[in-house]
Amino acid sequence: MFVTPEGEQVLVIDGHIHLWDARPENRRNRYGLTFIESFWGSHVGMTPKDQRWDFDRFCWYGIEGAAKDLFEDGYVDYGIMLPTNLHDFYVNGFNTIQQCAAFKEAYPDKVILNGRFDPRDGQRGLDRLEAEHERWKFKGAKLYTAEWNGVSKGYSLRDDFIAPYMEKCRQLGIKNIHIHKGPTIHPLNKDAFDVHDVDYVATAFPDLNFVIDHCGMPRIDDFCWIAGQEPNVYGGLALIPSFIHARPKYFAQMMADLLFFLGPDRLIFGSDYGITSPKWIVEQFMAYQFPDELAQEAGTQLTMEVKRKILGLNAAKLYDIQVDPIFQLQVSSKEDEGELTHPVVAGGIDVAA
Amino acid sequence: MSPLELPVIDTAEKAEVMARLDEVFDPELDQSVTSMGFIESVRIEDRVVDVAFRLPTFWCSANFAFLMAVDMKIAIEQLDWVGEARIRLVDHFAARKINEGVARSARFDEVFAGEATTDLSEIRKLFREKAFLGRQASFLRAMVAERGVEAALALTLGGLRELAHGTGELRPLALRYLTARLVDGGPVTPDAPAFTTLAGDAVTVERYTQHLREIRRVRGAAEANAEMCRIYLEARYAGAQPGTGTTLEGKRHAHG
Repeated sequence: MFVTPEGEQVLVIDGHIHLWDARPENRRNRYGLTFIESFWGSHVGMTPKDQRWDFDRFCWYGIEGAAKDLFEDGYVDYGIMLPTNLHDFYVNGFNTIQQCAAFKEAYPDKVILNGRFDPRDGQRGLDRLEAEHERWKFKGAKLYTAEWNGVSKGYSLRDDFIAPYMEKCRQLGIKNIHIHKGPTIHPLNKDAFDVHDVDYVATAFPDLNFVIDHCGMPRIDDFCWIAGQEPNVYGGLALIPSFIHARPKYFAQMMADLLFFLGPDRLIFGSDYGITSPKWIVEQFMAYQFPDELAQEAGTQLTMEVKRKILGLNAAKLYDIQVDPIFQLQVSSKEDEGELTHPVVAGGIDVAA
Repeated sequence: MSPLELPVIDTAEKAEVMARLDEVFDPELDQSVTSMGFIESVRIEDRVVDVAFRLPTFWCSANFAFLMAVDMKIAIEQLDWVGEARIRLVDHFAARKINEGVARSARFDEVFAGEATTDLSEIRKLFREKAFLGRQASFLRAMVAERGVEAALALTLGGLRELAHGTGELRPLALRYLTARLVDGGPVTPDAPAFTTLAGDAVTVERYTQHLREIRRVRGAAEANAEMCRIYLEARYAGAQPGTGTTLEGKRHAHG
């Protein structure tokens, strides 16, 4: 919970967190080092100088470190864990369901544990998903379309082996499908960052929610376009709010585009922890206002109402989290804060023409 | 401004090589490899030019790295005194394959046989088109600020040429856009409209607002990506790498 200087209490759900292990003893090969080094570049580049960690802590912060950064210092009420395996690089995996589950067990009321699967694993993968769901009761799962798997160097959400997994998710009640469309691990094929397959799967499975992590960055322009047309596509912001310190101008531009095309109800805050801590991002985000010109472009100012939605209320809806009335929108705030009518929501501009 | 000091240019030949490299663009970012600070060193011995370049991370996309390496080789070998350009990508997961492949002028799908199934012409086209839109966005914005919407949109290709080769403030943006407009966006006769869609239709006053939003989004994405790359590159050069296999020998950086 974040409390504004005026005393307003804001629910904070971090929609994108990890508990990883990149310690030397867990690195399988040189890739294990280079991979965490790339993350480290992001940590150093994005994080305010006085809040940076040392590299050893970056490789391993552990359960108590995460609890302090997120729940004690970082204003986070709930954290959504997105597992990543990377067994090719790390002996016991990087951030597997099992590793994340330890955090869930320590903080069961604050941690939301998602599953992960690779739809190329066929029936074996379906069985495993079912068994893992039996144990952990997932409400969401994470996919990496650019991930390597044997001879396959990535897949598309249009591939025919996707549907059985989506059907299985519907059947199990895993309704939030997080898809990593952002800086990727093995970017090789044509365009590993392509987001055009998202509209296909979103149309085919209208009762599932697709949260596109990192909003397709580096293809945020294409993502905005697709997401504007698909009501069940959400922008997982992780990485974008992190620009707010080092590159505020680009943070603002990206947010304005996202707000214009998706509106304020389909954006989910994420710190990408432990790339960096939510503490400084939440503080700077809460203090941020668009310049007037950008507010016009976005169709809205970053009002208290918009911030409440992005920081917590939108994710609470997706994950069926009971929200205390103190966090809910104040009905009267709309006019006071000068929110503009959102042109896409209002149907005023035909952006497809 | 780049955080990196460019290699010291101590000979006329080196200056010629750097000038050629100024014309090589990161296709994804539409920024030159020199302005992004990717060039690590340029060495010339007799008629052989050796260029080392480094990308912001070990895991940057192999396809873009490959395209840049190919373009560097071609650009430098256009200099008539150059016998061979040897392009070396360093500190990258696919460095060996890319360097060997580019040296023997192989195609991407040959170099990565079994991993990639198509050549890179499609992706090259995709990003060339994005560059067209992005450059148009920058230039159109400047034109409108100076002349208003109606006059800006009335600009012909002939008029664009004049601006691109003139002395006015719009020159750099006009030149950048002209380079792209001569390839994409329809007919290039002197009376053809300067501002067109990719399909070659003139941008009209009625469609202006909508069109501008479309193309600004493309430009915004490329710019934000470029910033992301600069952030990574700065971190990579700022001694951020802690006790690793990677040494940054002789590399200077702006951050103390």
